[in-house]
Amino acid sequence: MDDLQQEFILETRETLELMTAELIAWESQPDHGERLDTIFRFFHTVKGSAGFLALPRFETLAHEAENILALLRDTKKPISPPLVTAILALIDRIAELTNALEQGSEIHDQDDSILIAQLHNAWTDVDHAAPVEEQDELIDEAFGAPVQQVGQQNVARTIRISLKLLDNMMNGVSDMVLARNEVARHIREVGSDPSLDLAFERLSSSIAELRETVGRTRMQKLDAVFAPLPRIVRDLGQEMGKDVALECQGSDVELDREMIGMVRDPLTHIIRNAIDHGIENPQIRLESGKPVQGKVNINARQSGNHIIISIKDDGEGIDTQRLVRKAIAANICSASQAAAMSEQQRLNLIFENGLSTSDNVSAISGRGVGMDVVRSNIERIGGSIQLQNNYGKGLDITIRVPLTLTIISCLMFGTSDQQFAIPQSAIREITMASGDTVFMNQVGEHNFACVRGQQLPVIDLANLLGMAKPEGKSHDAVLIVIDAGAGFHYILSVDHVMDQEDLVVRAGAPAIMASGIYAGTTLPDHGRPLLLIDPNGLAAHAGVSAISGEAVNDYNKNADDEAAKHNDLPLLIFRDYQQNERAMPLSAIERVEDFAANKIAYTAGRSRLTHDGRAYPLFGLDDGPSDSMIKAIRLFDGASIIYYAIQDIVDMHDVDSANALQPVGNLHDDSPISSIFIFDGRQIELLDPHWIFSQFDNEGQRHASEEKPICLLQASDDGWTRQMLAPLIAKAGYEVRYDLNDGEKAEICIASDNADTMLADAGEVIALRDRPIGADNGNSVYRYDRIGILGALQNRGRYKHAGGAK
Amino acid sequence: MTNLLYLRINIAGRDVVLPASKVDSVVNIGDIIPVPYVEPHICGLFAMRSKVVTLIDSQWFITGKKADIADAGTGVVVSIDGHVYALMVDKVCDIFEAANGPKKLPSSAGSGWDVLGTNILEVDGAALLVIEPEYLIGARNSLAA
Repeated sequence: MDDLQQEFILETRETLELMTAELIAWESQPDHGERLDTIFRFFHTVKGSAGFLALPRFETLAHEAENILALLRDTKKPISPPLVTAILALIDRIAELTNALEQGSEIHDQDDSILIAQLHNAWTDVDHAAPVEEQDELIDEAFGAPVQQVGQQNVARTIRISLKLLDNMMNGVSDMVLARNEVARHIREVGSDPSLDLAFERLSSSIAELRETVGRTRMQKLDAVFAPLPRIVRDLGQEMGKDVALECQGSDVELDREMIGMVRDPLTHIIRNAIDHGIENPQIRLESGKPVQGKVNINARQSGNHIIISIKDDGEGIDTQRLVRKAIAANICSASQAAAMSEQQRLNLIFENGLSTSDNVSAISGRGVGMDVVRSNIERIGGSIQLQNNYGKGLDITIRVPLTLTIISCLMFGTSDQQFAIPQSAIREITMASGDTVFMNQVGEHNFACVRGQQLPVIDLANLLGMAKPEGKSHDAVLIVIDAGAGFHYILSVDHVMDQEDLVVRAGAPAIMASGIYAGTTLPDHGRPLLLIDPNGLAAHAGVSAISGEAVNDYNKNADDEAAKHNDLPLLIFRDYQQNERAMPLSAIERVEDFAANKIAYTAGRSRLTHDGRAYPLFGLDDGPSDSMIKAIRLFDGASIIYYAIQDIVDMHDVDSANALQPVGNLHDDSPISSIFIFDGRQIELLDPHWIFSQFDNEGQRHASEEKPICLLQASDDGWTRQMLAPLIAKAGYEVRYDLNDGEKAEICIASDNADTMLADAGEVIALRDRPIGADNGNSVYRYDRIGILGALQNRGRYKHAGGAK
Repeated sequence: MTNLLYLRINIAGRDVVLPASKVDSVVNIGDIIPVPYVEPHICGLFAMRSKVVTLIDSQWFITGKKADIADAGTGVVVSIDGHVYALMVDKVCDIFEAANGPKKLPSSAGSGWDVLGTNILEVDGAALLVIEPEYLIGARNSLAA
């Protein structure tokens, strides 16, 4: 093909993509400024090049569009949606023609005239409307000279390279890496020589650099996916009579070229869903107090080796009740199963095949083919999809995909003298078959293993693949718990696991892929080909699959529950500031938190920690903190909160509370240690949370929500009562009041000598006297007799109350 | 006349020819990694520089017996649809230029031979089957028929 023509095709296609976005931005904010100029320039360029290359159809279309735009610019008429639609139609036609030109095919030209007629009609309508006020000039004047288009001077120079050339480059670099590994092996065998080592080191680092650079040539900006979206949103919105604004962030995030292609369809589908099902009609939106214009927000960001794309809409979200009813009607699950589901599980029903939230099948979506395909497409490339539903307010979809399709983090394992790899992303847990936590048994055709109280089907890889088993090795198989998607788990039984490596995975020959159990082939650093297992395909071939509706075998949940079933006492083992390794029952621990050292002070005889505007007792730190940050375990007994300072967490460990714990000391010893046990050959002290809490008995760190008994203080106008007496009473655990609301009853009432009257609904009364020796035969208490006051409180107040049931 | 260049190879004790234009190279087969659970004509994989090559058991088509991969010596490398394959052969005899183009096979060559090719080449009065690598690669369909 003619080079000039090829250039024209590429250039036109590239600008076309930009154009569409520009035009839609222009439609939402129609002005006669720079955007109009850009669009005008595009058509002008096409017209010019087309004339030069003798492409009359391009020329005519561009010419007509150019004419109308020029008129629009000169007359300053308002821009109408039909006019934009007509211009978009012309752009579409130019795109079609471009494709046809490239492939050498023909498109009938009779409807070019229809498009042009449409454009003229739209223009005639616009022409009859009043011209737009001349605002632009005003704004321009107000801000001085028009703002220069940013970045125009700093455009990086680029050239076009064919993909084949890039791929060859990539292969060449891979060859180099393998050659380097081979050289490295030889050097190791021959023995080292410093100058050779140095040279080799330099070679290695430049190869690594080259590999990374070449790898980056494969990267493409997400813009390629985002660019067509505004058009889709606009067209769909108009078709459905909905006003939708699209906001894209992170379009400069880079993703592997192949990955871009894989992400495009699911993303487009989700956007279509959001507009079709998510965003309500303007009328409904008004009624529910939302802005008429719906919002769809796409945000992409890179997180480690993954790209996270979140799609948020402010539509109605998913009605899980209706979803469940539909699922039951479609026989996806039974009513009783549905009743037992958590909200998230119900939400995940949307991924079931053949289920749709929409009552009506529309042209856009609602046929129930959709989210299941979206999820399987995303999972196929090693990604995941999550929903966060806010019924009535919107839906939040998060897609997580690996940065590249070709480099996959894999676990390598061996079975029957052969190595395989499996994507790390599918692995949940690796355990030994011989461990105490796993029980194997056979049910029907299949073997099952009970891991953490969950029966999971077992696939013996060597058996399935018909490979000879090395004799006498079956007892120490390694079990890999695999997440086959949709919450379904199974166990892959292999001989041993070896290593985790990032592998460049390529599709295998069709005859190999046809087996359905391989995801591709790869060449790890040791230079021998490796087969990558497809976890889902393997399950399908082994005849192990979720029973419909039971797909939600919640393995993770059971992992938590299981610990409670045994005698096992789960403990947190840590090293404290006395350099002791100690343990604390997990049940007493709320959480572990980090604190800056300046939050800690030595007050009122012990270390305390300021947190959330309160001071809490801090145990285990006598000398003040030596680090700038300290860790503390937050202990909670249901009422009080105490912190225990630790240096580091050592481990979490279950001990057999019936046998492994050895009690130490006397029951009446004043010691925080209740027993010791052996962990990893070391003696660990088990702390007694009861003792710790007893040390801080009732220090007033009572949980705010707890109801305290009311103590009514009479003679409230007297400063002594408020300033001297009230704190003492509060410390004793009472809520100090000087007045009672209607219906409230004081537990106890303290009256000073000079109090005039007693309230009728006060409970027990303690009278205070001013002098050490009273005139009333000891019925009152001297007001500085602390022990006396507290004793009286105990006798008449709480103590009596507590014993009232007798 | 490069398109009349042929490679004479020996499979299961019989001489056949391959159009040289379809052959990338002839290699010594390295360590073979078997691929379980696939069609029997797939011998396994081996590494050729940084490429993973799928090894085809040519003999299987003819004798119905799987070749012993321990004996694998020489492979004829072909690229089809972006994938690299090696046909396992007993030996590569020579490369020569044919005087005439290939002819249609007048009748079935029997047993597995049909799968390998449908043309013959006359060389010095002897007729040699022209192997079409595509047949071997897509063997699954033709065998099923």
